[in-house]
Amino acid sequence: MNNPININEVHSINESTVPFKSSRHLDILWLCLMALTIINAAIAEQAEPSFFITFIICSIIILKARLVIDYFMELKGASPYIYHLMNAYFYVFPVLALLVWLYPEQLVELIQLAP
Amino acid sequence: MNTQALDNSDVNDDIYESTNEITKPFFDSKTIPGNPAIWVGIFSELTEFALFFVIYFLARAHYPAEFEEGPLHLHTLAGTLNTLVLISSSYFLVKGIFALRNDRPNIAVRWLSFTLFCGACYFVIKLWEYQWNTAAGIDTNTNNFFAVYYYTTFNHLLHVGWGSLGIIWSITQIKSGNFTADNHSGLIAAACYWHMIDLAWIVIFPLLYVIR
Repeated sequence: MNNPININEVHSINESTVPFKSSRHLDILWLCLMALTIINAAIAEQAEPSFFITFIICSIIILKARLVIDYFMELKGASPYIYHLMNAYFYVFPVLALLVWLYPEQLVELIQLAP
Repeated sequence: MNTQALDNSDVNDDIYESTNEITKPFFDSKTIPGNPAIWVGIFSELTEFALFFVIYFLARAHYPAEFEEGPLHLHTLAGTLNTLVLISSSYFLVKGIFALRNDRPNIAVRWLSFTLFCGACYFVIKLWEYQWNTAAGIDTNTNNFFAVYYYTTFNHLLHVGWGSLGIIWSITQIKSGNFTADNHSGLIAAACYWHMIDLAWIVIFPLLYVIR
């Protein structure tokens, strides 16, 4: 038995926890994630390495991760501990990737065991 | 087998019929999606992947030439296809959850089957990529970049296997009527684990295939 839900009723419960107003939004989100992946692949095939390109790649990682965490996993309205931990993880590693790309010598110096 | 959940069946429903329905708000601010145990597992797995990423950073800092050259020798198309397949698998999984919330277990099973199919495609593409590498003379001992590449991607491949088992289990639970519109926290747990695998690949793909 189908049980469609009235959108006004949903909003009156708690608007912030509604992941999508309709499944069409989910379809659009999927297409956005696919497009971002293809942009990444185009960069891999054609772009010469540079700070700007690396910055764009790391930004795409963060954007894709946020979309998956907020909407596919529906964590946006769930426990803030889990939500913020998940988000932090996918900010920290892209930023580290950018820093390692920018300052590899300094990292090598930092982790030398002997002078 | 408990067939109660399938009695008010949606056997004749079109799989696309549910696409314009509104989904329920499912989690509030105190809710842990799935169950606490799965999140212990998810954060453990993410810690494991974090170690791989740290190893990548250290190796990259020490051998910059190998890491600048390495991605040029990888099969970018295979990596891209696997990313598209994993994103699609997550999308199908969410569609399955929506279908179950709307009391359409048969349609939910179909969407989850698509997710499982994507998992199988990931395996096939990865094996194709490894064979392509071998034919090109690339293995774990080629250099430090490829050592990191093989250990990271093979570890991820294993996790796709564990995730697929979780999806198979969820399908059996829906079919037996144990997961219903109002009671499917086990499916949410399996879904969160699967999305974690997707998220890990979202980081792995650019690190190994794109950044030079």
